Amino acid sequence: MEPIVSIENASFRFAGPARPARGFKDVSFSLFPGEFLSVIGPSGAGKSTLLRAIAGVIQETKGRIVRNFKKPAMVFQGHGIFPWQTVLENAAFGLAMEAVPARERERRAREKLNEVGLSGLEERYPNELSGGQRQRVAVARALAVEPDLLLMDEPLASLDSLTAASLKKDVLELWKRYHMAVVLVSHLIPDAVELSDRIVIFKSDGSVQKITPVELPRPRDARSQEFFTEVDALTKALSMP
Amino acid sequence: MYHGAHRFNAYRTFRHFAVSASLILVSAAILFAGGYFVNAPWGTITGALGLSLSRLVAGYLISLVLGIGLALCIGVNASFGERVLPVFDVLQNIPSFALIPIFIGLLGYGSTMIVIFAATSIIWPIMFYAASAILGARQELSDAAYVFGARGWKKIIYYLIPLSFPALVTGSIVGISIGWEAVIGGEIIAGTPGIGTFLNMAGESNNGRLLAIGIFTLLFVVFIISRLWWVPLLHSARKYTEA
Repeated sequence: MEPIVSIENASFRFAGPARPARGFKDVSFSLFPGEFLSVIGPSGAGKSTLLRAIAGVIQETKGRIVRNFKKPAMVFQGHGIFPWQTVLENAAFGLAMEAVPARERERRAREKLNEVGLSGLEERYPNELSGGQRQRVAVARALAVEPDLLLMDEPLASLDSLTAASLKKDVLELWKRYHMAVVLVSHLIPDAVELSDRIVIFKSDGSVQKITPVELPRPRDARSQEFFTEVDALTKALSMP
Repeated sequence: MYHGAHRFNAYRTFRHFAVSASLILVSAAILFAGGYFVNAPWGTITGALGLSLSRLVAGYLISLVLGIGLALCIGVNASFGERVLPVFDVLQNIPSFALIPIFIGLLGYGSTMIVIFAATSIIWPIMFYAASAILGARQELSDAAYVFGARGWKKIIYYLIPLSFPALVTGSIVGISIGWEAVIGGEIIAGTPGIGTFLNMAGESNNGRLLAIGIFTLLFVVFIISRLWWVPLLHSARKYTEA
């Protein structure tokens, strides 16, 4: 099977003395269609920068990222939805950029909003929503374009634990339903274990320490002994120098 | 980006309207009681004010087009912004009235000179406010626009213009107040017919009555423009703001 993303010794270094020394360095891995891959590591290790490079927002300064996906979508830590658009317009944004006819994009946007539990809020503006609702709008916007690659940059980080648990469950269901490849950046090891097929562990210097498969059967029980063992092993790996 | 004074809640209250309307009404009452309005030359005053207002609007429209254009260029091309912003920073600090002899030398004493002179004063707040809004936006918004396909002209229409809209409104309000000064000052210096020349002549001839009526009429027009145009625009810009 051809990978949807292939990263070959890729590095990214920020320009300018005011920037951190590096984004990420010598990263190599492939992502396959339908795979759920998480990237974990300490803050400032370049995880989010890697995600931006995969999306093509920034270009790797060394190595190569082969992008075989056709329709990427991204969910951001701070939601990244547009304050000047209603919930419905936000959800339909990607479709509008694809020049999908108005009626069709409204239908699809409403459908995705319904799937993420936001029916009835279509005409509201983001400043009238809670943090969790905004993040759901961001998920609906991403799903509306029917992506073959979904990039998620710590989408649960700014949410309270109940909202985060609910959204995590929804994301997992939507991933199963749409069979898209997912890259999730997270600093929460249990989330990565619960959701992922494979986990890429970053070191603080921006390089990859380890890529490890998660062998636990789905659906995963986050209270099982095996789950805790997996989390402990990753925590140890992450705390190694 | 907003000027701190342009927070929306203040403009939404009836109290804001009541205070500003009271200022007009009290001024009118004082002038009326003093007999200032008897046989006032309303035709001359409104004609002069109309001329000044038309110059202000023309100068504003020129500034708006150029200001938005420059802000968008800065938003689309970061390296362009890095090159031109320091230059603009110096230019905007030059007192505009210091340049008026150059404008007179190039364009003479007519309306064109005053319009262009006003435009060169109004453009800076519009351009800087809009550019600041674009450059200061959260990176996630820009990334989202890119990832979901807002590139090239779509980036301008669907991302940069809505992003900078509240700043354009605020920059316009600040710019218009500077523009009034430029138009009135330009008219006084050039002796071109308009409310500036009217007020100047009233002052020079020690005609306090005409001076008071002229200033009151100007105040009234500024109030009406604010209530009918800028306040509704500020309200509509409210939805463009982050939570």
